[in-house]
Amino acid sequence: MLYMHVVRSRYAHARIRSIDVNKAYKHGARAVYTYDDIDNVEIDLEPAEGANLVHQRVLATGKTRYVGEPVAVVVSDSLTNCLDAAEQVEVVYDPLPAVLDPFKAMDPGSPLVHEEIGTNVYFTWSKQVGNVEESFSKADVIVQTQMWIQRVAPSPMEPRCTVANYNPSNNSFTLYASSQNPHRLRSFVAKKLGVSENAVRVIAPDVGGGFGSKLSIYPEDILAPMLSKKLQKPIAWVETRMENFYATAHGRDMHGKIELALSRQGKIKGLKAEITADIGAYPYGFAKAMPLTACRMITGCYKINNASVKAVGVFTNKTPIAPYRGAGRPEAAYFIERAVEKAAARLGIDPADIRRINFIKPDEFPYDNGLGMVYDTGDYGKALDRLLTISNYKHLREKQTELRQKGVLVGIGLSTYVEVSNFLPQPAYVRIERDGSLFIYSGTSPHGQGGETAFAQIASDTLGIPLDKITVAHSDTSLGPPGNGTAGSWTLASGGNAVLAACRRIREKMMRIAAHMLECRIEDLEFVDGVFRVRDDSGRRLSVEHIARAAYDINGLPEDVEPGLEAVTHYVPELTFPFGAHLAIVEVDAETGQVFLRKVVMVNDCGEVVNPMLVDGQVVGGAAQAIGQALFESLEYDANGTLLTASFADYLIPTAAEMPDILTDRTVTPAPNPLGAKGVGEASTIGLAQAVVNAVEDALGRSVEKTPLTPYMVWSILHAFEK
Amino acid sequence: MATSRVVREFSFKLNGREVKVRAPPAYTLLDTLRYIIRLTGTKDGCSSGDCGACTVLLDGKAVHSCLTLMAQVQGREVVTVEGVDPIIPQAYAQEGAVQCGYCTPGLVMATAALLKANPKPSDEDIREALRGNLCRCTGYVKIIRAVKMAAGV
Repeated sequence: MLYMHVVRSRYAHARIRSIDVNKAYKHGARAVYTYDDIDNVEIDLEPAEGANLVHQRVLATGKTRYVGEPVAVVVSDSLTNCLDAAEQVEVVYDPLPAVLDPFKAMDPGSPLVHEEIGTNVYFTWSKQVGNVEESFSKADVIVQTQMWIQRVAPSPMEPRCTVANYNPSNNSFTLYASSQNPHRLRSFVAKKLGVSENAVRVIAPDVGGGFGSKLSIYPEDILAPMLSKKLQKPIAWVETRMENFYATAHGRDMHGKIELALSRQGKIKGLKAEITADIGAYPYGFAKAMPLTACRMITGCYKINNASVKAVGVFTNKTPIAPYRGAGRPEAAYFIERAVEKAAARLGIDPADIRRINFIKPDEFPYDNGLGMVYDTGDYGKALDRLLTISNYKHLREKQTELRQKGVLVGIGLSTYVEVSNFLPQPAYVRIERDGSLFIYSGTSPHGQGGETAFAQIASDTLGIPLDKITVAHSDTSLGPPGNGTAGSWTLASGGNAVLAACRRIREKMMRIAAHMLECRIEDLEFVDGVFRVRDDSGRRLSVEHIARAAYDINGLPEDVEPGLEAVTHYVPELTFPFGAHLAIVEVDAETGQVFLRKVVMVNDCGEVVNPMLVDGQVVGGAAQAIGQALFESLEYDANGTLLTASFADYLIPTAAEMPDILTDRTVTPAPNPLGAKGVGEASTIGLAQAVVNAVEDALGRSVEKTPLTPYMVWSILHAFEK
Repeated sequence: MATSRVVREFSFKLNGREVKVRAPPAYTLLDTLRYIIRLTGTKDGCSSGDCGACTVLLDGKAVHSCLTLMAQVQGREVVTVEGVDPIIPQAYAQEGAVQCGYCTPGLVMATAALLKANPKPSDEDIREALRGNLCRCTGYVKIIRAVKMAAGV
C-alpha cells in the first residue's frame, strides 16, 4: 500500500512559474507528479446551460485559482514520509491579485479568475410573474432588506479519503471512497480513466458524514486510481482536517437584496429579489442550480402574485461551492422569512399574524408560484398553529414584555418555511431467499440517517418478514443497479418508495404462487400477519417461508410463473414540498453582545413518518447546523485570500454546551406518493437559522445584516447607535 | 530519509492486557492504535486535539490520543472503545445517539471518563464533560440522553 498526498496552492490566485520536485525525492518520495507527468484530465464541472463554461484539470496548469487547489501529488510508503516529502516540493508562484468579493468581481477593472471567458460572471438568470412594478407603485409600505448568508464549511467529522486498488489482470479498479454517491463516482472515474463502468467498483463503506460535500467529484478521486495503475500498487489518500477546510467544497455564500411591497394590513402585494452567489473558483455540481432553486422558492409559504427574481453567479478565488444541507432552499427560506419578519416589525403586526394573512390556503394546492415551482400539498396554518400552541406563544410574548421592562434583551423569532425535495430517481432490488429471509439493495447511500432501518420496516410491513431476517445493502456498485446516493432529503421519499414498489411486486407474485398451491383464486386470498390464507377458510394457509421454498422449486410452480422471488424497480419521484414552523427564544447580554439561545421549538411536516426516531435525529442534527450558521460558523479570509479559519479551534461548530432546549413536534400532510413521504433531512437547516436571527433582531430592536451573530457583531450593532 | 523506519519498543496495558509494540518514536498513540495495533475504533478527526474523535482513557482520564506521544504511554494503562464497559455503547445505540458514528467512539470514551469521575451527572455536568467532542450529525440531544441512561439517572 502506498500513500498519496497533494501539494496545494498556497495562494488564492497565482501563476505557477516553476515546480521543482528533486528535493522531494530526497525526502522519501517514491514518486512526484505535476501537471505534465500525468494524463491531466478535466474534472467534469457543472454542465449548466447558458452559463460561461470554464475548466479545471486534476492538477493546476499554469495558474491556481484558490488556496488548496491541487498543484502536485506525492506518493510514498508511509503517510509521514508523504507529508515530509510534500513539504520539499518547491513551487514558485507569481501571485496575482485575488478576487474575493462577488460584487467587486463584477466591476469592469476586476482581475479575472478565468481570463478565457472575459468576465467573472458565471451565469445570470431572471424570472417574473404578474406585474411587479404596479404592485410596488400601489403598495402602502415597501420593506427593503439586504442580507448575507455566509460561506460555511460542511465539516463532516470524517474528512475525505480514498483507497484505490488497480487490478492489472483485467484492467479494473476497486475504490473505497468516503462518498455520498458511489455510482456517480464510478461513472466519472471510469470515464476519466478510459475504462468501461463495469471495470470500476466503488465501495463506500460507513461514511463519516457528508452533508453534500461528498457528492462532488474531486481531483483526488481521479488521482488515486490513476496513480494506482501507474505504480501498480494500492494507493491510500487521507485528507487532513485543514485540507478539508480549504480543499473540500464549501456551502451557502449568497447575498440577497429582498424588497416586499405590502398593504398596511400586512398583505404582500409584490416581491423583488436579487441574489448574488459567490461560486468560488470553479462551478462544482449545482453551482448554478442552487441559486436558481433559491430564486424559485423565494415566495415561500405565501401567495405572492407579483414577483421578480434575479440571480447572478460570480467566480471568486475561493474554494468551490457545492451543495450543503439544503442547497439553495435554506437561502430562499432565510431571505423571505427575514424580510417578512422585518415587515411585521415595520407594520406593528405580530409576526405570526402577518404570516397567516399571506399563507397559501390548504385548498389552493397544487399551488403554482409562477416562478417554476408547483407545490404538491401543504397546510402552513396548521403547522404554525401547532407551533404556537406547544410553545405557548401568548405566554411567551407576555413574559417577554415583563422581562423587557426589567431591561433584559429577550427576543422571539419565527420562521415558517416550505422547501422542495425528492429530486432524483432511485432503484431498489429486493429478493426473498429460499428460507424466507429478505435481501434489500438500495441505490441510496445512507451514512447515518438510518435509511436502512426505514427500508427494513417498509419491507417487513409489506411482506410480513420479521426485521431480524432482513438484510439491507447499499453503496457497493457491484451489488445492484446504479442509484443516486443520499442527499436532497430523498432517501426515504425516493429510495423508500422504490423499496415499497419492489416489495409489492414480490407480494403479487407470492399471491399467485399461494393461489396455485392452495388451489383457489387470487381474489379469495388475504395476506395477514405474514400468512397467505383463504378468506372464510383460514385453516387453508401458507407462510412466507413456505412460499419462498416453493418459489425456487420448478415442480411446485404454476406454468406461467418463473422461479425466484425478487423484483427490481426504478422509482421516479415527483418533487415534494416539506414545510414547517420554527420558533427561537434568545437573550442578549448587552455588555458582551453574547447571544444565549434559550429554546428552540420546531414543528415539521414531512408527510407520513416511517420511523419517528430517525426523523427526530435529522431534525435535531440539522438544528445544530442551523444554529452554527446563525451564531458561530464563519470562514474568514485575509486580503490575499488565505483562509484564516482552517481548524476547529477557529471554525466553531456547536458542541453539546451550545445546544438549547429543543422541543419538536409534527403535523402530517401526506405527499401524493405511495409512502406519502416528503423528506426531512434538510428541514432544520432550511427552517431554523432565520428564526434564531429573527429572535436576535427582536431582542435588539435593530437590523441585522450578517451572520454569524458573534458577540462582537452584536455588541457593535448595539453600540453603533451610541456614537 | 526514512524517518518511519527508526522504531522504539513501548510497553503498556491496553484494554486490560499487557502489550509491547515497536513504533517510531514520533508516532502518537492514535497512529499506533490504528496503524500498528490495528484497533481502528479510535478515529482521527483533526489530528490536533480540537474535535475529540480520538479520545481514549489514559490511566482513567480522557486524553486526545492524537496529541499523546508513545513515550507518554510507556508503562501506563490505556482503554479504547474496544475495551470500554459495553453498557455505554449500548445506551448510545438504544437512544438513537449514533448517526454516522465517526464521533461516537470519542464520545463513548469521554462518557466513560465522566461516569468514572461523576457517576450521577446532571445535564449541565454532561454538557460540560462532552463539550470537547464535536458531532456534526446528531445535535447532541440523544447523546445526552444516552449518557443519562448509561448512568442510570
